[in-house]
Amino acid sequence: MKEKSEVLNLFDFGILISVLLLTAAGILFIFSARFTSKGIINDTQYLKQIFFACLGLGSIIIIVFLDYRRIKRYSFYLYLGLLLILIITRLVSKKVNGAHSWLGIGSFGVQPSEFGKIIFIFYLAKFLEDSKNDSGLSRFIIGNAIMLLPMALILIQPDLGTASVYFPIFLVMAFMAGVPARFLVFELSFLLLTLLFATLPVYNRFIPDVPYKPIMILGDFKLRIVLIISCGSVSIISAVIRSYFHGKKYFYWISYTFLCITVSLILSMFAQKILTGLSSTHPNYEIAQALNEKNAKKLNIETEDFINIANGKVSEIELNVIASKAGKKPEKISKTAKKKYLSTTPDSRIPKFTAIKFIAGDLLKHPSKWLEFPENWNGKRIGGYWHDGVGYQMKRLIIFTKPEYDRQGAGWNIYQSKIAIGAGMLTGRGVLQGTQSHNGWLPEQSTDFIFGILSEEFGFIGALTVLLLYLFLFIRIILIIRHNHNIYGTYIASGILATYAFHFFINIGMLMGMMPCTGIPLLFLSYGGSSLLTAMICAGILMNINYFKKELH
Amino acid sequence: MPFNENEENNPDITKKLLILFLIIIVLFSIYVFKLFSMQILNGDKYRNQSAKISSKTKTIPAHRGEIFDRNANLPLVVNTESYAITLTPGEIPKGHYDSVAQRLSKFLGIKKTDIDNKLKKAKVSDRSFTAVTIKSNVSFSVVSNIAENINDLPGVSWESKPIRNYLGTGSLSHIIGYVGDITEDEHTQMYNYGYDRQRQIGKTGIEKQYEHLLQGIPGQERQTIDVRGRIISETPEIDPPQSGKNLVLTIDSRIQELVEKTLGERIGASVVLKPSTGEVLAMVSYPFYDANLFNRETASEEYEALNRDENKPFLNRAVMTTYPPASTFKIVMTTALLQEKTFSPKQKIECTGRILYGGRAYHCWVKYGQGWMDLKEALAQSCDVYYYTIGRDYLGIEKIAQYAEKFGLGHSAQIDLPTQASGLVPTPTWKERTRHSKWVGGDTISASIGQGDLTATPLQLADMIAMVSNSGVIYKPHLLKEVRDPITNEIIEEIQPEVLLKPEGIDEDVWLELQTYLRYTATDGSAKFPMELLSVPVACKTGTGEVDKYKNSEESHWHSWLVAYAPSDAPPEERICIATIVEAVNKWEWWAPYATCIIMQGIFENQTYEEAYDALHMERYLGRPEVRRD
Repeated sequence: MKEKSEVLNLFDFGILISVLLLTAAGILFIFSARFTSKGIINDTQYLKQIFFACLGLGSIIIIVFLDYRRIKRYSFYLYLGLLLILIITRLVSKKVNGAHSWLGIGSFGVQPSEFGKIIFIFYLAKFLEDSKNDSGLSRFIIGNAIMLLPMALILIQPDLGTASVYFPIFLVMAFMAGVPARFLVFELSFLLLTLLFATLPVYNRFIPDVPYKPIMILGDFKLRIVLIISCGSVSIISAVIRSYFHGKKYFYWISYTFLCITVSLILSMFAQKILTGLSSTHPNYEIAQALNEKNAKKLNIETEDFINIANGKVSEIELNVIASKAGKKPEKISKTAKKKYLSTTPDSRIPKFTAIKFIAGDLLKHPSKWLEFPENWNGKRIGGYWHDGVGYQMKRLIIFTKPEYDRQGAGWNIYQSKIAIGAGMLTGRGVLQGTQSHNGWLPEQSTDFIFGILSEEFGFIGALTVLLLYLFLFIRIILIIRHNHNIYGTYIASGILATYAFHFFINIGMLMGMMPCTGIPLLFLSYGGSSLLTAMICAGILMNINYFKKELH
Repeated sequence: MPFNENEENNPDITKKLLILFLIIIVLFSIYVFKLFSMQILNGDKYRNQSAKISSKTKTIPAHRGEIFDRNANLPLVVNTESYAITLTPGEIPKGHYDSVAQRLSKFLGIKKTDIDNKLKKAKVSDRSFTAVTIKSNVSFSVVSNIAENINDLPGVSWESKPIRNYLGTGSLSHIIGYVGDITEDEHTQMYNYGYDRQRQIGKTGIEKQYEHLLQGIPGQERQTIDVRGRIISETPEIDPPQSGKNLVLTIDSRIQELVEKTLGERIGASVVLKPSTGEVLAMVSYPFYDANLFNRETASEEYEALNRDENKPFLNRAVMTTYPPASTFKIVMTTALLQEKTFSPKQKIECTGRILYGGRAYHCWVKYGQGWMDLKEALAQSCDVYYYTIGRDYLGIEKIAQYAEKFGLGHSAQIDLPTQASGLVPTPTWKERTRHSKWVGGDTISASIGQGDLTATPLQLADMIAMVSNSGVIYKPHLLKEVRDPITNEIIEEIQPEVLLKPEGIDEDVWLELQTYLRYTATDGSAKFPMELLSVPVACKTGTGEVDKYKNSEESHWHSWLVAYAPSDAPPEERICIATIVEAVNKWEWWAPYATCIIMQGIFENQTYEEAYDALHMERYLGRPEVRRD
């Protein structure tokens, strides 16, 4: 047993106090968020949050004095259990906010995917420690597999936000565990590039006043194929030079970079399809629509009928009725419709343009046109306001660059939260005085957008305090890792650091309009029992690691 | 600092922690800077934006200025209270829409489906707090009925939307014009003057010309709203509107009515001026329209019908239509001859009824000729042959055009109305440029008697006679007399006479000579009858315009002109000028001289049309002139 003074010494009051301060601020603003302009509190969210905060505090106190290392040997079974629960959750739970992520008893529900983070961190830490002497590649691949299993199960709930947290946890832990950085950098840049290549063409079509000429290459299917082949060739040639002709080291890096770009270019096409929703729409929606209308007119039938006929959604009797109205043979209508229907399929259909014509023609002749590019290749500017065909997820990823573009739609949240934050000014409007929140302008105020209310009501001073509390928390975790001599504990702590930091930067970045819109809450502050409890358990684990840092020295 | 303590850990871990630490610090600094930039550097911008999105501004329309005639006692245009009924779907309790709409439709006397359509058209959701106008121009009694039953009609409200009520006599519509909803183009033009899309704007006439005086400045009512558009603030912030200015016109209602009745249902126009100031006392153009039609439910149909009417009731013939001045142009010719002295006024020319020129015969209106004539007699009898000869041999087209322009022909009369025609004084250069053909002597001959391409508006001819009356000055014709404050009725601005034209190089005695000639025309010339009926001495000139359309028709069809001023023995300040045209499409009555007679009688004897008509025993003469008179 330790001395009493030593216990107090090892008990990490810093973390506890900052966590409690953040949680208290969260409860205050959850209360504020539900306080309407008429002065009526119409919800008990803040009471629930207080309940979970107490539960969390209790957990911290219990966890601090348990030894985290004891869980190590069960972590594999916990991991299996997590996968099982995630499957059950997907199957039996009812849909809340469009996702099957809640496992509930009565009105109290929990999100297994939130607690899953802790189990995942524990099991990944065990794996990374156990495989210390294995090759970097096998650690990387198996580590990825450990991450992907629960992630995939969460993705199909579907809950992109929670699933995405697993990736930074893996990255940071693998990095700390000595998995070769080039694998991790490759994976990270490949992911970011894929997202970038998938969103850029859509961004370029709608958001800038004048589309950027080079980006337009990505929007054209044939040109993209040319680009993929060229990047792939560069990568292969460099690899060949490096390995068979003993080229300099930098050939390796050229090959590495271009391989990354090539893979991203290929996968981004699928990503684009997923993000725009797997519906039969594509960014040239209006043109396809216009052509369908034209073709329908030629056949003397309604556009809607035309599309339905082409998709085989019309029964024979209906077809006969339509045909008799149009004065044409049903077979002819059905055949023409199927042939002429533009299913808004791949980008290659429109604009019709060949790569050769592009390279030989416009750009080589007029290099200055590269940056001013008011027109499309075939002379038509594809403009117009964006439409449903762009896809909800795609819109959310792009709109942060210019929320004013779709103020009433996808841009609403970011537009309103930016106003809420900015309108706070130095000292804020005062507690319960925020007009953005109390008059309902700010959406999801108690959950993802809670930092908006805080900034509006407490101003720069309050917001900065919260930021500094977080910074303190991060530095405190780094110090815990620094002084810890147990590798298992180090990995776990870095996983927790990744969780905290990821939530923090993504959430606040989104509110300030610097990050795409994703449903990631701000830990400790946002309303949500599972995420609060998870974050507090994590804090308990950190304190626990700190408590036992001297042992096994 | 975290990294310089003694308890060394694995150096590899330390290095990696340093990297993580740096990443966190860099990102964190960017975030703090961004937060600083949003809240401190651009905080005002965001706070304004927040105020903007969360406040609803309602425009309080300004009281549009009223318009009076020159006596400034009875208004010609007033604003009448009228209401618009609105429905706010969000204020109707759930499930009660149908019954509310049903009841409201009964009060308004429309179908329930009309209400449904209005809401559908406005594209508002069922829960929206935006008020949708269901019916405008609703009378006070309907509103008070609704107000009594407001408990059964949640979501129903009304707003005051005053309408323009034109009280003056019908022919004033051409002068005053009307107002209407602002169009897209007008909105773009007037945007900088603070016009919103709900505004009414003057479309023609004085309403358009003096829009900037009449409009006033609308007030604003600001209220804080929440995201659903519900009003949160208890008391709205109000900027009160400023009423527009009242206008006093130069028009004399009595004379206007007299002229309108005298012209009767004859297509034509008449202008009565005060030559010494340019004030327009009356200006009538027939047919006219009822400016109140725009207040009626059937406005668009009526407007369409009037627009299609071949007599073009929206056309103010007094200033927008140009006619050949015909023999009235002989005033200009006479002035030119008296001034240029290229041919002695005493020397006589024999009128044989026609002259031959360039293989064509040019006839006098008296077929068999009028014998030997000097200038005075030729003007009085309106002898065409005399003027043909003078124009062709002694003046030439350049001089004729020069004098026509000295009288203001071919140039805008610059009356304060938004649209007016300038007429045309043909010259060889003009003909070359527009017709690509050479000027021939025949053109000069036609121009000498005011036919051919020479055209002028009735207002320009009124100015022409005013020039004679004033011995060489035309004052800018105007309709606005005073601008008055709408509340105190104080005169803010009084329009002063302004010289429009004061040609040089015409001697005083030329004018005196011309005045005696014109008086002689009324006493012994073509206008002897009916001018002899009047006790007030008139100086005038008749005109009978040939119209190509009727050249070969069986019936008699000519434009009938008369320009006159009276009393000719009074100083110019006491005179009035009249120019009247009765178009050739009407039944031939030689009505312009009769009309002028009745108007003069009415003005100087202070009689109404009926009294003047009876006093002159007009019924005896009506229908008499079947043949051409000049």
